[in-house]
Amino acid sequence: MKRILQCILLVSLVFGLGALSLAQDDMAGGMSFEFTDEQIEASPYLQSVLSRLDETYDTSDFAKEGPYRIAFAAQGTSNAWSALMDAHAYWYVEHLGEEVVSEFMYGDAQRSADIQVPQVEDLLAQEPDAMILVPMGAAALSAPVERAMMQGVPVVLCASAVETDNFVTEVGTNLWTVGANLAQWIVDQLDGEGNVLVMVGVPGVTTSDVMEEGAQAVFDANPGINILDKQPGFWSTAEAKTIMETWLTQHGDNVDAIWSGGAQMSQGIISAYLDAGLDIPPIGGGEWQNGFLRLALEHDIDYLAWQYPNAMITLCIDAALQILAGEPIPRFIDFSGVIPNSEPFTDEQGAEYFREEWSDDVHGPITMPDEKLAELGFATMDDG
Amino acid sequence: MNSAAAFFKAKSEGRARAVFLRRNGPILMVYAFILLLVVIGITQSERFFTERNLANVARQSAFLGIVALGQMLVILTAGIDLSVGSLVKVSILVSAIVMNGESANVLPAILATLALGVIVGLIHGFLINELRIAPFIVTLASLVILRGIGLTISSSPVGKASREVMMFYVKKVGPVPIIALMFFALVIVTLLLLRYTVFGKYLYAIGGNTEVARLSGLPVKKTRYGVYVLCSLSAAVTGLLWLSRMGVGDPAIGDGIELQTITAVIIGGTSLFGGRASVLGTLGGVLLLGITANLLVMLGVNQFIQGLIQGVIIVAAVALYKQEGD
Repeated sequence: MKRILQCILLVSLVFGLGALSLAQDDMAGGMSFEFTDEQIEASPYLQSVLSRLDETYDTSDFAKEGPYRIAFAAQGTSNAWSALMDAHAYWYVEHLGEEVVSEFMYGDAQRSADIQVPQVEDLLAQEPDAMILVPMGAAALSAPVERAMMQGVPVVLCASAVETDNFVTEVGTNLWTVGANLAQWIVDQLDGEGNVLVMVGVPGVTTSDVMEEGAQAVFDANPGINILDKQPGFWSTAEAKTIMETWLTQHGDNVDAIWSGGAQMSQGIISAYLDAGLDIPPIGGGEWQNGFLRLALEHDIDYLAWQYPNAMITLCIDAALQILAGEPIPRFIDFSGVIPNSEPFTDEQGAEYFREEWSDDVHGPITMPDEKLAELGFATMDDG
Repeated sequence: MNSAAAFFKAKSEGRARAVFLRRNGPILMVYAFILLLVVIGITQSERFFTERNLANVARQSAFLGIVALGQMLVILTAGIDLSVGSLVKVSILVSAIVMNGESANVLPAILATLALGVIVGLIHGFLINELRIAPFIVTLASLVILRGIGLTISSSPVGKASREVMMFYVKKVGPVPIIALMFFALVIVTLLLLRYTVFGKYLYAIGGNTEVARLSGLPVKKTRYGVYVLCSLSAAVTGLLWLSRMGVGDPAIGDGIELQTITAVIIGGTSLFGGRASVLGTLGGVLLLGITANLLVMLGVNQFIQGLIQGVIIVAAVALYKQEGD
C-alpha cells in the first residue's frame, strides 16, 4: 500500500512540475517583459535566471528510497509572512504523511544571516536527504550551500537566491521583472511623464536589490519620469510612514506616483497621506496582503499588486521530493501561475482578493485549509 | 596520637574539599548542565552524538569562544568591550577587500586585519586611560562608529576569500576541525597567561581595586592598553574566521556578538565588577551556549524559545554566583 501511495505521489509530482516548467515559458514573473540585450548584460541576476529557465538538473545522483529526511532552513517566525510559510510547510509535510517525509528538520534564522549560517551547519550535521533553504543573504549563504552540495545534500533555494550556481533548483519568481513591471505600470499611468518617489525594501537583500534594479532600468528608459528621491523603507510600515511624512513635507502634492517594494511599506505610505489629508497618487507596489487591500479598498487607491506567496514552500518541498526520486528538475521554478491566484492584479480586482475573515497581516494566497489558518490565529471561522 | 593526626588530616581535607566546592560549585554546575544537555541530546536525537555533529559544535563554539576570551580579560579588569561585534563586521570587510580572492593577498589581508584590531584596541586604551572615559561609554561609541564605518565601506557583500582560506574552514586534524583546535589552544594560552604571568596578576589586581593597584605602583595604564588590544585582536581574528566561513565580506555579520560574549563570560563565573575570572568557566559558558543552540536546532525548537532559555541560564548562573558570594 505504501509503495502504491509513493508511486502515485511521485507520478503526480512529475506531472505537476512538468506542467510548471511548461508554464514558465511564457510566464516569467507572472507578467511578460521584453528584456533588451543591454539589460541582460548589466544584470547578473537576469543572466542567471534566464539561463536557468531552460536548464534541467540531472538528479540521478541524489535518488534514494523514501521516506525522506528533509531539512528546512527557514527565515523563521520573524513576521506573519514567514510564520505562514512555516505553517504551510508543516501542514504540507503532515498532509504528505510519514511514509513520504519521515523527518522534517527545522532551523529558525530570525531573518539573520549570521544566525542562519551556523544553523545550516547544524542541520547538515544531521545528514538530511535534502535541504530547503530560504537564504537570508545571497553572499552569506553561498559558501554553506556549496558545502551542503559537497556533502551530497541537494539544496533547493526557496524564495531567494544565493551567489553561487552550485545548487539544484530555485523556487521563486523573476524579481527583476516584478520590479520592472511595477515601474512600467507607473510609466503607463503617467503617460510617460511625472514625478515619482521610490521606496525600496532593505538594501543589500537580494529580493529588494533586484526589484530596484528592474524598476530603475524602466525609469532610465523613460526620460519623462523624474525620480524625486529613493529611500529604503526596510519593509516596515512604521519606517515607511516616517519617510513618507518627510517626503510630503519636502514635495507636498508634487508627487505623481510612488514605486514601493512591498505592501507593508505601501500601508505606511497610505497612512502618511491620510494624516496629511492629501490625495493619494497611484502606487506601484501592493501585494495580496489583507491589511493593504483593506486600506486600498476603503480609500479607493489605484495600485498594481505583485505577489510573493509564502505558500511557495509547498513547491519547494515538492521539488526536494522530485530530486530525491531522481527525476530531472528545472533549475528555476516560477510559482506564478502554478500556485492558484498568485498572478499580479490591480485595484480593479482587489475586492476579489480581500478576505474579511483574515487578519490584516495575512499574505495570500493560502493553500492550507481555512480551519488551519484559524487554528493559527490568522483567521476567524464563520460559525454558520 | 596517630588517630588524632588522622582526624585532623581528614578534617583539613574535608575543609579543602568544601572550599573547592564553594569556589567552583557554580562552574561545576555549568559543566553538569552541559552534561545534562549532552544526555538529552543523545536520548532525543540519534545524530547528536556523532563525530560530524560534535566537530560542528566544536568549530561553531570557536567563533564565539575566541572573542569571549578577549572579553573575559577586559571584564576581569572591571572594564567591558561592547564594540567586538562591530569590529568583527569591519574585520571581515577589510580582510575580504584586501584578499579579493587572491592567494597572494592572504598575508597582507591577515596583517591588515590584525593591525586594525591593534589600532582599535589602542584607541580604546587611550580614551579610557588618558581621557578617563568609562569603558562602557568608549566601547558603546566605538560599537556605533565601527558599525557605521562597516556599512559605509559597503552595505552589500564585497571582496572575496581565497580558495585556501575557504578550505581552512573545513580543514581537520583527525576528526577535530582546525578552528576548534585553535580555540582550545587559545584557552590554554589564556589559562597560562592568567596563572603564570605577571601580566595576568596585574589584570586581577586592577580588576580587584584599580586605585590600590595604581598606588602599589602597578603599570595600570600599560596593562589596560594591553588588555584592550588583546580583546580587539580576538575580534579581528574572529572576523578572519568568518571570512573563511562565508567566503565573502558580508556587512550583515557581527551584530549582537558583544552580548553573546558577555553572556558566555557571565555564565562562566567572571564578575562584571572585575577581579574574578575563570577561563574554564568561560569555556563552559561558550560550550553551554553552543550546545544549547545546536540541540534546539536538532529538536526543531524556534529561536524565541532559544532566547528564553539563554535568558533563564544567565539568571540562574548569576543567582548561583550570588549565592557563592554571600
